[in-house]
Amino acid sequence: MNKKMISPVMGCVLSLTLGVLALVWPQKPSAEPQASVPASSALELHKNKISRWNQTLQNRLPGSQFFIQANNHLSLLISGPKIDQVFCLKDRLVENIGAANPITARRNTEAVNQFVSRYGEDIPIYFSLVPSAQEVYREQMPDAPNVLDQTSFITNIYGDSKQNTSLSSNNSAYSKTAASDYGALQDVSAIDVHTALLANQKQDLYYHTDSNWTSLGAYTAYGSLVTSMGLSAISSDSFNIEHVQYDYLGNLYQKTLVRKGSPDRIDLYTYAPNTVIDRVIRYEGTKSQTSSSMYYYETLNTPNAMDVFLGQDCGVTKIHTTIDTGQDLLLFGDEYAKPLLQFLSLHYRSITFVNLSKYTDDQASLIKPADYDTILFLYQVKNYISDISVAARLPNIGETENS
Amino acid sequence: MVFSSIPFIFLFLPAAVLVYLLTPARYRNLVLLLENLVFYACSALPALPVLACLIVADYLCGLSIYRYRRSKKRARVPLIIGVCINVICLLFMKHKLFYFSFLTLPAESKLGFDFLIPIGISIYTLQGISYLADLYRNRVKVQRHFVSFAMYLSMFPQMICGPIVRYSDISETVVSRQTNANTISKGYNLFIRGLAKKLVLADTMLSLWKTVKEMDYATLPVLTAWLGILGFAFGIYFYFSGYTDMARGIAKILGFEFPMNFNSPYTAKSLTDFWRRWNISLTVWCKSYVISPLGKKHDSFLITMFRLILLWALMGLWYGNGWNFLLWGLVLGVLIAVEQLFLSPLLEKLPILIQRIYTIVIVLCAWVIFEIKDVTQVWAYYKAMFTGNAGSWGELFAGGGSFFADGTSLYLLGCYAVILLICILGSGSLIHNLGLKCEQRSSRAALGLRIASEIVLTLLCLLILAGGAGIGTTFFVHF
Repeated sequence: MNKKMISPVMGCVLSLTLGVLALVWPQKPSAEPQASVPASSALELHKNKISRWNQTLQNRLPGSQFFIQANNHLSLLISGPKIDQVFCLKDRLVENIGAANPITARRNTEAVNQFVSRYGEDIPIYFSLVPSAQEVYREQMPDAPNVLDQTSFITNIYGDSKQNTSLSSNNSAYSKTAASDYGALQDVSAIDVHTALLANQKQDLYYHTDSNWTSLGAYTAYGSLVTSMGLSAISSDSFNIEHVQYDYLGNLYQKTLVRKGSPDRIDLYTYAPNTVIDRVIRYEGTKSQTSSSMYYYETLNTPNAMDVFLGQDCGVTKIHTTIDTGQDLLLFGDEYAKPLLQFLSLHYRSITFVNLSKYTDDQASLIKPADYDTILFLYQVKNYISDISVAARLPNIGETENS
Repeated sequence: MVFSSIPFIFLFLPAAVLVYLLTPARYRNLVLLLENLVFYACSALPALPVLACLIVADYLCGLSIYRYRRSKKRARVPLIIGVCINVICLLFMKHKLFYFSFLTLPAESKLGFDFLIPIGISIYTLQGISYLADLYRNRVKVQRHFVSFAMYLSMFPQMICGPIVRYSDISETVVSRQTNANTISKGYNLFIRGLAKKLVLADTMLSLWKTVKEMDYATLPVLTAWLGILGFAFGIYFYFSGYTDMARGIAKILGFEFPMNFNSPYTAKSLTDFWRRWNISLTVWCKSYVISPLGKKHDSFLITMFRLILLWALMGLWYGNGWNFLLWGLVLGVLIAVEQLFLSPLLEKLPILIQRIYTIVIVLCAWVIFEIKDVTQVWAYYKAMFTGNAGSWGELFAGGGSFFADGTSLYLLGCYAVILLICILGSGSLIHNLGLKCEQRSSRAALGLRIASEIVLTLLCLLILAGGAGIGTTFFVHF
């Protein structure tokens, strides 16, 4: 063969081989379908179509994980430490929280204010926003642009509401938006957990490969939370710390396939003196599933290991304990609330945890806010600025009570 | 279906080339036509009737022009009809939103106009006009064979970003062409370089620009602003030149010789020089079919300048339907006119380095207009570029460097320094000259080096594509 033809032949053979393999290779079990942004124009629709076609073939390629990994490492070399909104630091992966969507944040805040105006007179209501690893480990972060100043954002949201906070923003380089853009809480006790997290930043408060916080991070925030709610935090000595998985590679690793630092360890904090959980009832729609523990050990050593806390996300979860305080807590939150329930469950007779992003209207009868002694909103900043479910569904909570 | 996508690179292109090369020569036009139509259908099926209608219209007009060739007056009628059909299609399909922005229509009523710009419409309409005009001027022979004509007008390699190939440039190869190891090898070399330019250089530089573009211009220091627009300048250059190289490479493999479209434009020593090196096929087309018919070579100075400004206005509009494209073209046209009027003699006396700096600064400033659609934001960006948003010159120089650069500037510079350097080297002629020197010393070594680089680029591009990149940047997906 003419030497000049080496590369054309090689290119043709390789590309056609990969293409044919992508078509005929046995398909992997499909992962959870990714939500796609509805197209706002014909051009967006067309771009989505190209993207889906390309993605489908790319997923079907044998060794696609290898290609993605190699591509991402190449990207780190030529364009810096960020891949697809994840910063690859020296020993951890950190999710980038970019500019807040002021409309979403404002609508969520308005919905909370409306809820508080309905129930706040009779029931103490608390609100807390949890910063992400990007904020707590800010000193380790590069001076990248378009990063949300989460402390400023939290301060703006808390507004003039009764605060137990010592929040202050000290970095003007981060993007800021005027306070009025996000709305501000009214007549609700806003709780600062930021300070406690920042004070303990040298500890592993967040996973190195996942966007979630660890049980230790949740415990650190728990102290500030319960103190503000008029309770006494239980000392960490009262817990058995069970190391249930040592090699966890979380959602940020799955997104980038870049290893930074060691795999994560998942710890469970079980109350040492005795078991307080009586039963845990998970509601998906109107179907319920009861278990005697809040831990779902069968999810460990799977890609969904974070579901060890209360299982897969569902709209309503009721935790009944043997604690004889006579107090019932209604908790609105996201996945950050789940590890926190290990500690909150030691203070309440029952906790109803509502994940509004999974909540369905047929679960309305399960929640009667007036029946609770305390109501707590706990969200991570990222969900609060991007997930409209609080604004969309919170107004419907308790409507059956009022009708 | 864009060139830098898995369906195209892994399936369509190798299959299309193989089928084409295995086809006997007399059937290759038909096979290529079918491949063009398959490509078009996969890319923009709803727009296929538009292409089909224009092919038929141009073909019939061409036959009519030839039929009435002895009477220029009568031949002018089908010429005008053909040109009008192409121009109306182009204006309506591509520039609809631009025109309708004049009207204060409610948002819902504009939705009906939110259909895709037919892919390649800026290419095949201009090519159709070139064919009819050259036929009218007796510069080319009529193409009676419908399949050959349709194949020329619908050629898939140029549908994404050109180049615009006049019929006169390839009329002979439309009828008969050769493919051999040499043409395939050279074509592949062009193609893989183009693909690497797009995947590695263009996409990375455009991601730099995207990052800076999303920042608040009111707080942007000087270095960040310049890094951003450099990112855009290199991004758009390597995007276009990459796609053009891919088009030329595929065409060469198929036996066609497409003209060069970019000639190291960022090494230009004047705006006039830049104009001659950037999107050459578009410039040639505009000069041949719009500017020249409007006047003669020795027209008065004012008329010549008017034609120059008109040329650039049209070139600006070719890139997209928006005021920013028109403004970009007009600004460059006026500056080129001023340069030719006053500055050329002065420029020629300056050192080459100064000439290049002068040119690159103006070109970068012009790109700001091109890319940022909001005029107020354009001004804010210029302010960042030249003052770092300092309130006064005193504040600028007394600011301790914070207006020139901050932590973010240094972060961006650190992230993109290597790729910027590669872009600077790649946009000049250094690598080309090194290749030539190597060829002069030892053709065997040069061939080995070329093959090795092609293999490396092939593996690199396949890796990037298989890793899911390649379609993230499709900002000019329709032309």
